[in-house]
Amino acid sequence: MHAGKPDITAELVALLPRLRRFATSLAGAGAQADDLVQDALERALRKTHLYKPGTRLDSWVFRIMQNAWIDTVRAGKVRATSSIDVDGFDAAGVDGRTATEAAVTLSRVRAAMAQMSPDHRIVISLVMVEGYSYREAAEILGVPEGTVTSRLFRARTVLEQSVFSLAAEGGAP
Amino acid sequence: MTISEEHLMAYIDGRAPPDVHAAVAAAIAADPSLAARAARQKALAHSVRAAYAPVLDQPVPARLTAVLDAHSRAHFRLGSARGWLGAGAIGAGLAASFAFGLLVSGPRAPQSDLIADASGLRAGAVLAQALDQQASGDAEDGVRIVMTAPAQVGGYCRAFIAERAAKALEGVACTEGAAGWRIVALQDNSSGAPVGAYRPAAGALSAATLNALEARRTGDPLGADEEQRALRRGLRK
Repeated sequence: MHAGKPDITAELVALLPRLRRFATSLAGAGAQADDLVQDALERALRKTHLYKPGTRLDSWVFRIMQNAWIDTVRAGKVRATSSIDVDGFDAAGVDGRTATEAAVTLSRVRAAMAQMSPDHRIVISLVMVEGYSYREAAEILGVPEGTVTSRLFRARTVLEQSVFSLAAEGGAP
Repeated sequence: MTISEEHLMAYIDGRAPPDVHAAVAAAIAADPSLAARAARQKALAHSVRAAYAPVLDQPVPARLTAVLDAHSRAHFRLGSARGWLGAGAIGAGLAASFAFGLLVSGPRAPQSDLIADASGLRAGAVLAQALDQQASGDAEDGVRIVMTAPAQVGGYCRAFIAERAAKALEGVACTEGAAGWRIVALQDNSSGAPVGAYRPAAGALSAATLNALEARRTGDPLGADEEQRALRRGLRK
């Protein structure tokens, strides 16, 4: 190995679909998600020397990405409550009447996510979309595990009310 | 055990310790209103996951792979190929090429990828055309050029991957004046990703192939602009 410069590009290529999913859950679909992925990739490549080989690369890059997104939100470059490009998604893999129902529910979820605070959005995404354990999410966020569970509980309550109230109103966003 | 909201959440997320899991499951079985809340939470968890699942199947925009590709080429420039990749991946070298009977043929079959002559292997018509014309990163007719570096007497060496049916070869070809392309290294690449799939520039190649390029290059691999200029001038002279 070249001293201090592990080559992580091949592994990053393999992570791209997941990075785009994480970015989409934070920033909404389309160009804003890919801007975020690009920002995170560039940051990760600049900091390759800080990555410890043998540790999980995905957690390391997810941490970089959530920091990048927080920076962007704080800088006011995007509104934290971004509008979500619902048309940027399709309901691939489901069919018939189920597809319509599923698409309505899923667009509700994305609309509800777009209204949530950055901290809530991140924790929902890490645990409920990306499937990280509470401990892994805590490591990515650099906070105690108890903070993750309490934040996740509040975030989930907000999300639940939002999704099911939209459902009750029959209103797709 | 009193079931708290946090217990229920951990149960839904599959993150509850065994004792908590068992307690929540028992409470749900005994309490229809708790069961209803659990069902609602499960539906929410399912919907949240499903809402973003389609992203995984979308094609990755080229601008993102380009970021990694540029880095991979620059990285190759920093150290020797051997030092960078480690010693584990050294392949069997040129001898392995003759396992690929379909790719190699005698001088009377100009459509072959590789032509064996008295002094070794030359690129056949299809491969030579790719070596003459394609930019690094492009894949056409099953041939992907991975990178280009200047070589002796004003010539160039190019690392390539050629895929035919289920077999794939990677190698290094160097110009021999205007005459053609001499194959100076050849390796099995059948375990790699398909040629059409994206791979970072240097990461797609074995250490043996990178070492062969390393041994012959007289300067850094060309950047995209430099390579375009060199391709317009013609690599063979």
